[in-house]
Amino acid sequence: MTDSLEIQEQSERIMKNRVWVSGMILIAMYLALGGNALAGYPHASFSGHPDACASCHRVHTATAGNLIKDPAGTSLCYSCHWGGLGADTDVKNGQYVSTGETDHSWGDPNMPLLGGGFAQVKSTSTTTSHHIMDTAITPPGVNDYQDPGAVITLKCMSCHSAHPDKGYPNQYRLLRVWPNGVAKNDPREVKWNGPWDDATQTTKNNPAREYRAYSDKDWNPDLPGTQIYTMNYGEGMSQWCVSCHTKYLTPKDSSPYDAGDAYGALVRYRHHADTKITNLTDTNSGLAYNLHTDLPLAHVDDPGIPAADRSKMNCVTCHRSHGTDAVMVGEAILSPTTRVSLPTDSTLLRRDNRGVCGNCHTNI
Amino acid sequence: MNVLRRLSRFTHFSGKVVKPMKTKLLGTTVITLVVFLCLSGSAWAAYPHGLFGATPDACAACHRMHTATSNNLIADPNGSSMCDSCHRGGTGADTDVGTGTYVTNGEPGHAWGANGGTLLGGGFVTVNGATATSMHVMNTALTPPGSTTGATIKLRCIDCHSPHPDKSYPNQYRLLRLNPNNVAAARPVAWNGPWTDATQTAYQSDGYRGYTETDFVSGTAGTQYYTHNYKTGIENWCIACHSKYMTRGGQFGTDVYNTGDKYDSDPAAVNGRFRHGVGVPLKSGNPDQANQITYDLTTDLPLEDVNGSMTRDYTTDLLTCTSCHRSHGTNATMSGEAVLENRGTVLPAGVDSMLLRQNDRVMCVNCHNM
Repeated sequence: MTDSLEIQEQSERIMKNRVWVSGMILIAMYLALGGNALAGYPHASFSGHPDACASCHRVHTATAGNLIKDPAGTSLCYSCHWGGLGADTDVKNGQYVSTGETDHSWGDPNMPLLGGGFAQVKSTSTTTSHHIMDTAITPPGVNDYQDPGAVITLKCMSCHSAHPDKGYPNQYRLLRVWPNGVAKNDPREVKWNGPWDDATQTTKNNPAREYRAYSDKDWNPDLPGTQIYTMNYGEGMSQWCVSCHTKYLTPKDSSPYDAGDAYGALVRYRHHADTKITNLTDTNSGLAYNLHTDLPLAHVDDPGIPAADRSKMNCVTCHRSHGTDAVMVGEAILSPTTRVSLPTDSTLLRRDNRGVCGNCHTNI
Repeated sequence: MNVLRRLSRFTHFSGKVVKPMKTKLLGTTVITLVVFLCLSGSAWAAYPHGLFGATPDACAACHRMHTATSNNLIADPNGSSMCDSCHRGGTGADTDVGTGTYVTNGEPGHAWGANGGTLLGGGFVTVNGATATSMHVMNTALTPPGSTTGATIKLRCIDCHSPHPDKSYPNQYRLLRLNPNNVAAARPVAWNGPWTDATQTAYQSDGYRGYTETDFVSGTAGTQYYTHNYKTGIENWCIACHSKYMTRGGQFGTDVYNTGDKYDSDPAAVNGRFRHGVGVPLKSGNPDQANQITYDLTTDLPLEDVNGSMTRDYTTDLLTCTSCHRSHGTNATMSGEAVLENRGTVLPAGVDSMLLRQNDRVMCVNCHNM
């Protein structure tokens, strides 16, 4: 009897230890494989029993429309996209991390995000300019003659949709298909080259191409000309940006426009976007350009288009979407008229001063 | 630039350090500011017309990508004022073309001219502190003297100067346009420096002054010289507008034209107009076409140093337009016969000194020491 009790107690201890060890193993596995990261992609591709809905929604206690649980949209997004807590894309620190998601193959850990960050870039440098959030401002380039006094209070959701718009499952970066209230018959589709090779998003882009959708692949501003970005974007990025910066795809205004500088209302001229940079002749000046760059270009992966025409510069060739740590000195912060410092300086440019200019126009 | 960036970033970064670092932080900040002011200040961090590094600030001095007010994405709607923003007052360039002075608060280095020295081309408003008595008139439609076609030109800075060197002519003198007045063939103008090599890294030694009149003293011919600055091409460049001024002899009856003086209808002028030779040496070998006189002259006016010897050689150095004329403006004063057109008619104000370098006709006797 005593032996039987001892055996039973010993058996219970063993079981307890096993349960304890098993529990520890499960916790360890959970932390290792999932941790506080999401078990499912929260923006789409939900399985039969998704946990991801609860990341953002409360069905009975929501504090905002669309049953959003957080009253401030930006902080809700930051709850995952800051510090690698739920996503690899830390948009506040401007860094691709490897602690948020289970698959970290779409960027190089600890490299800057292609779009930069709102507070820092690569978690080290404080941003010198960023898209200002939660503040009513007039976007530069707003056609104030057509839309006087237009202001926008940016939130993450102003640019990004939490879930893909129907009909546009591969929209780049979940960008809104109709940003800033553009007309329904004028969708701003932004194509990109991956990371999928197929429409069902199951086959990844060829690893041999080292496809890096999110980070500045090998980007090093101190070694220009030696490294390139992944060919990430397809077509449509510039058209998307001009949903707010409405005039910036117009090479020459048809009517005067006050840009807020000292020159007042005048017809303004602009650098072309959505243009190839090789085998190009400027129809205005007659100058021939045959440039190259290591800045990110939009790449139209269409064999039907001549090779020289497939790569085009666009807005994000020069600008980061979220924020930059580029530093401006000298003339880069001076007004050309008064030669005093301008209030806004780095304007989300990718590189210090006007490094983005020199990166293409190397022979000047 | 990288040093500056690293320093400033270090300052940003060190702004987060704990209290014992405050002294170091303050020191670093002060050093950063001093370095910034010394290297940048109001001056260029990079040459604005070329030689851009990987992260140039200079593009922004003239260009705006989204709000430009004129073609080529120029920020300023008036070409000349765009240039003036740096080239007047020494706020961005050492060459103050308004006062015709070389100043040393515009650019780093300041090695290409004497501080306060008079620019070789003079100034549009003043020269040597005196009001300019003639200048290339800007922003006004005029027919250039000596024009073959009589067409008017509304001069702006960029009619003569290109903001950026042509790729095929990286050393074009003063960034002069290769095709001024839309001429078909390029008009290269070679000069001696200030570089001694094609990559523009080695500089002429010992006081090479590409921009100023260092030793020039009016009227003391033969003792003091301009820097041997020009080499070839000046006169060919100028006649892109003043197209007749290299045609020397009316003796051949090929150059009968009206200049606006009283001889326009004079039957005695049937042989046309005669002109002083340019592109000619001052000593031997090039007799006057009309009189077959061989000259043996000297001068302290600037000549073209064709062989790049950097020494005076009157058999090879050539007289050129800018030997006698300033390019921008002059303060030379004219008196007596120098302002009278053929004894009686006083020339209109502003066109009497004809951008000549020296008072009256001192240039004449500077060579022709009669």
